[in-house]
Parts: sequence; C-alpha cells; structure tokens
Amino acid sequence: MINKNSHLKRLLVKAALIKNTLLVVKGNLYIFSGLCLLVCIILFAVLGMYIIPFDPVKIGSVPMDLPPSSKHLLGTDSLGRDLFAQLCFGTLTSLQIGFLAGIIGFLIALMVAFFGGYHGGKLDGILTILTEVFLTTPTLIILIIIAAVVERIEIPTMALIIAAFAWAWPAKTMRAQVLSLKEKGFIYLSRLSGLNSLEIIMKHMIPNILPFLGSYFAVVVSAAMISEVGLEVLGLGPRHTITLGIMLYWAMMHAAVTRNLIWWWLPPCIMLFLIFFSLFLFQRGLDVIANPRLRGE
Amino acid sequence: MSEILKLNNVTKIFSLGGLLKKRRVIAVDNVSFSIPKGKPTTIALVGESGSGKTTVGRLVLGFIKPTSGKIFWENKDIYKMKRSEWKLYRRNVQAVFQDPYESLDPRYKVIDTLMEPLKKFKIANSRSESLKMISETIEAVGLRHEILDKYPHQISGGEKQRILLSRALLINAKLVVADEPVSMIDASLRASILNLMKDMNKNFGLSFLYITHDISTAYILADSIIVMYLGSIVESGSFEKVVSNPRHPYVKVIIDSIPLPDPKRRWKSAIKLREGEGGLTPKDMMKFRLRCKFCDRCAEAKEVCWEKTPPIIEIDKDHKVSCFLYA
Amino acid sequence: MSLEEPGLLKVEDLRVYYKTRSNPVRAVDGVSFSIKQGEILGIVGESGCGKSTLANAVLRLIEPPAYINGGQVFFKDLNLLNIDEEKLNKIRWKEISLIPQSAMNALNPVMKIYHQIKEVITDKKIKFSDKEIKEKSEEIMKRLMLPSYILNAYPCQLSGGMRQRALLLLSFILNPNLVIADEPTSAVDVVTQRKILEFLDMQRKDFGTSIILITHDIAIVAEVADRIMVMYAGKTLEMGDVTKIFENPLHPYTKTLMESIPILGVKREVIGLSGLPPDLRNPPTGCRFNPRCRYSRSTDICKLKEPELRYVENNHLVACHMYS
Repeated sequence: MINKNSHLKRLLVKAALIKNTLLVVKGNLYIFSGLCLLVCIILFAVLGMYIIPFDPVKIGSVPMDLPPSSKHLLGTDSLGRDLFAQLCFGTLTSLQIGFLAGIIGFLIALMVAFFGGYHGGKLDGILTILTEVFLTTPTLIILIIIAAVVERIEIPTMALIIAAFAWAWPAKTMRAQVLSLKEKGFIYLSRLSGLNSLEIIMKHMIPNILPFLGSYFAVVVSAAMISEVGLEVLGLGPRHTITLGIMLYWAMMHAAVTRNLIWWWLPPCIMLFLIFFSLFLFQRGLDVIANPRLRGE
Repeated sequence: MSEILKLNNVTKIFSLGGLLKKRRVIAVDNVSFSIPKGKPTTIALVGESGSGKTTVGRLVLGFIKPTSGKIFWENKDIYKMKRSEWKLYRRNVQAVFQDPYESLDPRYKVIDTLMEPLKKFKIANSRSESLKMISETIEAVGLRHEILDKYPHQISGGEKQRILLSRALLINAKLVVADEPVSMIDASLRASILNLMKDMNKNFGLSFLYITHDISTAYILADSIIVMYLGSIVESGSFEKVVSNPRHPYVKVIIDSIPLPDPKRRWKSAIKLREGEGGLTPKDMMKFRLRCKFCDRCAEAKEVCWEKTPPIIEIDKDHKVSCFLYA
Repeated sequence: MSLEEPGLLKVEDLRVYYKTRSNPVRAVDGVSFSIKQGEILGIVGESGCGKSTLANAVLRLIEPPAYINGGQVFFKDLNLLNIDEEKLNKIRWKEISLIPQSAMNALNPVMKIYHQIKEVITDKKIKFSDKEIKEKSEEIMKRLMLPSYILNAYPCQLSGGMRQRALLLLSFILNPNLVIADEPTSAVDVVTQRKILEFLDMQRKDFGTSIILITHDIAIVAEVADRIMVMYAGKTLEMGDVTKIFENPLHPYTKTLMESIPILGVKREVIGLSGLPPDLRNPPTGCRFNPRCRYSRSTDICKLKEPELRYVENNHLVACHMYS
C-alpha cells in the first residue's frame, strides 16, 4: 500500500511540474510567436528584395499604373515603380527607422529613470519635470513642426526626432519601478556589501526588472513606428527613399483609394498591422513573465 | 573605556510635502548613546511605531545623514572618514531587516549572495578559500550545505534570516543592526533565530542593536535597553534594571501592558493613560519641541512638563531616565 | 463527537477547502466547537492553520476559490449555512459581527466616522435618532478610551490604533450577541492592545456579548479568554478551559507554543519548532503534527491514524494518541 501511495505521489508531482512549465511556456509562446512573426516579415522582405529585380525608388523604371500580374506581383504605382519591390524595401526601411528610434529613445529613458530614480534629490526633480513636459506636449504637432523646419531629413535625423518624444513614457514607468525596487532589503544590503551605485543598478536592479524592460522596449519601438508612419503619411519623411508610410503617402497623393487601386494601399497597411501585431505579442509575452498574476497563478 | 559606536546629540528632521507647503517631522530628537568596545553587547532599542527607532537604525547604518549631531565609529566621525575608513565601517556594520522576503535578491542563488561581500571586501584570497569560509559559516548558523545552491523562493523566511545573520559572521562584522528580525516569523519558529543571535553575541563576539516594539523578545538577548518615544530617549540602562523597576510613566505603562501568558495573573485595573492630542502620530512637532513629548498622555504630568524638555537623570549606575518626576 | 451543550453558536465538523489546479487546499478540515452567551473563546494558531478561513466561513463570507465542503453552523436555532442570503444578511452585524484582519484599513476613507456609523445603522433598517446614535457611540467610545473628536474625523486623520478602535466601535454599536474578532490587536502597539482587550472584557461582563478572539499570540488569550482552542493545519488539537490548558498543556504543539514565548522576568531557554507546516493539498496521513512532533517515533500509530478530539478531563479535550 505504501508503494502505491508513493507512486501516485510521484505522478502527481510530475503532473504539477508539467503544468507549471506550460504556464511559463505560455508566456514564452507569446514571445516566441511574436518574434517568429517579426523574423518571418524580415525574411520575406529580404527574400523579396533578392528575387525581384525592380528598383523600388527610381521613378519611371517600369510602366505606370499596372495592375498585379505575374511580372509585377503587386502591380506598379503612378510614378512607374514596382509595388512589390517597394513593399519589401519599405518594410526593411520602416523597421530600420523604428528600431533605431526605439533604441535611442529607450536608452535615454533608461538613463533618466535610473540616474534620477536611484539618486533622487535635485537631479531627479529636474529629470521628472523634463519627463512630464515631454509627456504632456502634443507629440505629433511638434514632430510636424520640426520635420517641416528641418531641411534635409535623412534616416538618422528622422530617428532622432522620433526618439526625442518616445522616451518620456517608458522613463516615467521605469522610474516608478526603480523607486519601488530601491526600497527593497537586498538593495540596502548590497550597499552594505560595499557595492557602488552603478554596480547595484547593473547587478541587482536591472536583472530584476528585465522582463519589464523588454516589454517597455517593445512599446517604445511601437510608439516610434507610429510616429514614423504618421510623419511619413503627411509627407514629412526622409526624402528619396521608400518606407511603408511613404508608400501610403504616394498612394494618397495619387488618389489610390478613389481609383480603387487596392493593390497599392492595402499591402502596406497589412504589413504595418503585422509588424505592430508581432511587437504586441512579444510585449504581451514579457508582461506575462514579469507579472505572475497574469500567468493565472 | 572607548566605544565602537557613539551617537552624539543626533537629530534627524524630515521635511515632508511638496514644493510649497512643507511639514517637518522630528523623527529623532537629540539622541545619544554608545556601544562599548571590547565587550560584545546587545542593546535593545524599543519603541512603538513613530518612536524613531527605525530611523536611528538607518542613521547607524549610514543610509541617512543626521540633521545635526555626530555619529562616531571607532572614534571617527563617519561623515569625515576617508574612503578606506568608510569601506571598513560599511563592512563592520551589517543589518538584518524585518521582511525576509525582500532581503535576498531573487535572481541569485544563496551562494552568490554570500560571495558578493567576500569579493568586494577582498576577504578571501581565492575562490576555494571563499567556499570554505561560506561552508563553515553556514554550518555555524545551523543550516545545511544544500541551501547554498537554492534560490530565495525555495527557502523559508526563518532560513532567510539565518542566511542574513551568517553574512554578518562571514565578513567578520562587529555590529549588526537587526530591525524587527522576527516579527514576520511565526512564534514557534522565532526561538531558533533569537537563540542564534544570542549565540553569535556570546560566542562570536558580535554586538547587536536589536530594534523592536516587542520587549519580550528582546528579553532573551539584550544586555541593555533604550526606550524611545516620539524621537526621544525616555529611559535607558541595563535591561534587568529598567524592566524590573521602570521609572518613566510611559515605560511603566508599556511594561505593565505586556500580556502575560498566565491566566491567573491578569491585569487588575485599567491602565492610567490619557488620550493625547493625536495618539502617536507626530504632527508638526517643531511647535512642540520644548516640552516633554509624553506630557499630553502622562497621568502624572506637572506644569513644568509642558514647558521644558526634561533633563536626563541618573538613577543608578546603569539606569537613566528623562523625566521631571525625578529631577 | 460530543461537545459542550449548544449555547449561542455551534460549529460541527466544518470543512472549508480552496480550489487549486491540483488538489484542493484543506484549510479547515473538520473543526467543531461551540460558544455560550457571555463567553470569550480564544482560537490560537499560527499562519496557515485555518483560523481566519474559519472566521469568515461562519458568516458565509468566504469567496471562491474557497468553498464550504461540509459541516454545519448553528446559531441559536438556525443553520447559517442553509438559510438564504437575505435572512443571513439580517443576522450579520446585528447579531453576529466580524472584525476582519487588518480591519483598520476597512474604513471608508471618504466618510467621516460618524457617517459610517450612521450608515451601518440605517442599513439594518433600524431607526435611531441622531441623538441616540451619538449617545450610544459615546458610551462605547468611553470604554475604548477614544476621544470625542474622532466622530467628526476622516480615517486618514487618525492613527492606526484609533482606526482599529473605531472599527470596534462600528462592530459593537448594534450590540450583537456574538463578535468574531480576527487578530484585532496584531497591528497596534502594546498599550492600544491592552485597551482593546480590556474593552472586550468589559463588553462581555456588562452586556453578555460572546466573543471569538482569533490570534496567533497566546499571551493575549491568557489575559481575557475563558476557553481556548488550538488550531494547526486545519484541525483542532486541543480545546478547553484556559486555566487548565495553561497549567497543563497536553498536546505537544500546545506545549511548544507555551515554551516559545519569552516571559519578562523569567529566565529560561526558549524552544521552538523545526520544519514547516504541512502542505494542505496533500496533508500527511495520520496526525498532521506528527512530522514535527518531538514524541514521534518511527513505528507509530501517529503516522497511520488521525487522532480524534477526546475528553481528557472536564472542559479539556485533546487530539493526540498519547492520551487515548
């Protein structure tokens, strides 16, 4: 009888363990699928660029206003450019700008949050006021003004402009995390272990909010991409290149919607949606890991 | 006799409120005490919430700076120390906090947490030496070696507190500031932690500043006691003397109100205490600094108690009271 | 199982479980007790023993994932677990009131204390005039040593100890027959604790209110209770007259609890327990305390059969094989 009991017990424990790992994988499933989708999008664009021989930027390289065919998979636009090539190239460029802006913005937010939040005092006061100002300013309007004023917008400039407004929200949220983390016993004890502030931030604070950081990063990149698309659709994007937003700009300029040229304006919209969706999945997965309550515990 | 720790007229005032309306709270008011050198002592720092005892702990640990007054470690002002002296001070004064669940970094195994101060203070010469030291210390606090490989969420609250105590032993600290180390632990499990602290005091030469609101637990460990009320020390001295013969009206009430686990000796009469002007919440106390902090609740308060700060009177060799009744 | 003659409240074999993904947590697993009018019963136990769950279950205030898996709760002649919600609501607060843990945070932060009292009274459709409310409140406030200005104050303006006492005021204003107080003094200082305990004693003496005092601090039970019940891992281990149990604790767990309290003025070694309470999803077979019991031996009935709660003498029951 005792053997049966312990055998049952072992089975129960195994079942519990499997259930537990499934929960963590569920979080990871979000991350996994998000990343997969993003990777697929990039691979698709890269492959597309490789296969399709047409130039996405050069005007008049192909006949205008052709509907989709076996030669031009998505047809051509009113400026004589292959739309499928534009889609692939545009996806890569959009992602480039979005991630660049996202990384810059995130790094700024990181520094503001940690140096302000950890040290407190006057520095923190100034940084907080700065953050609040950037948060409450109507971003798009300012971006439009800046973009309209700056003469030549290339990709790096565009990324910087967008980053300038993308950092505020994550800075504020991360600072809140830092403030609450700072009061934990083990942080005080690391001070008593002789560690200096930088070591404490790197060794004890960042590892403990890593899932949050990843989640915020995804949010920043999404926000950056939204600003980017917004500016480009209004014609304020970088010149002489193609991004998904710029595709939409040209589509609007040539009344693609009224003319029912669905193969022009719909694919970039779908692509943008897929990109945002993949970022969302990734971010949601990190949220689930960071916050056990969402795990259903 | 010289002291290892000395607080001289230490005051800490916090300014609360935003940019416009400031409210000042006197958390610690003119507190002085010391820990003698040579003989490892346990001082119980007793008081209710709002008494300032936690703030004193943080001042001693160097986490906050006093508004006025000085703190000396080995006869040196800690805010005038050189870098190397400050590092030594940090190593020698360690802490155990109330909440064991927030005291260990959840991302690191126990062994990594213990290695950290060893590495930083350059105590061991090699990794193998560190491992040996850690292993011996873990045994000394009554834990098994398996615990070194575990993560904090896999061990109990009591075991966590032991690990924190072992940390102090490991780096050869001289003083441990223990802020309510057992209040979040069940009664039946407290004994082992308290006994460990007593053991560390007697056999390993560590002094303790044991901060608590529960005098009964302090009884097991403490040699001397300091009772605080709203930031001031009201009575201090040898634990036995103060507890068996309390003089200050507040201390008398506290000791009398401790429930005894003996149904045959119950409280006979209702306690003699007036309801003060706001219970124990220190409001804008700058206004009320020049009087005994207990005067609004004291059943034996005289007129002078409302007008001047009471002096410190030595009743006995190691028994001091701050009260006009004995002036 | 025969216990005291039914008085005011009689709980029989109550089982409250918590649903989980695996086995349910058997938080309260067959607890029986009763309480007479004018009696203070102290329920003592450490974290996880089920005492708070028990308190909430009596008034059917438990929420999923907790559920009642069996047992009866008789109050006067009604089975509280069977009557409908409307009837039970009439009983709550008027005849039985519950002061939950951390009650000081249960006050409505945007209402003055006086208005909260009024709300409690009007909610039960009792018509007291403002004057009557004030009079009744002041009477109780005097016993609690609360100053009169608290009636006009918001909870945030009062200290923790005052808020706790304000909640006691709310619980006693309708003069219920039975009050269940769950850790009423755990978050207050020792002086306020004494005031609260003395107040409970006074209410019992002057109005015959019965009180179930739930705590982890065995010393406060010694100060005010008539009988005590020791809980562990969802079960009752020992129960009876307080003096008898303190003089002669029989269950090994009770003995350990007594020995683990430091007493001022008494120099002695404090002893504790090793290990941790059992996982109530898979409680050990036999006696639940056995893994930590100092009298446990390898070939033992303690591991195989669960001990029953039995009379050892008048007004003293133990659930331990050493005494059966």
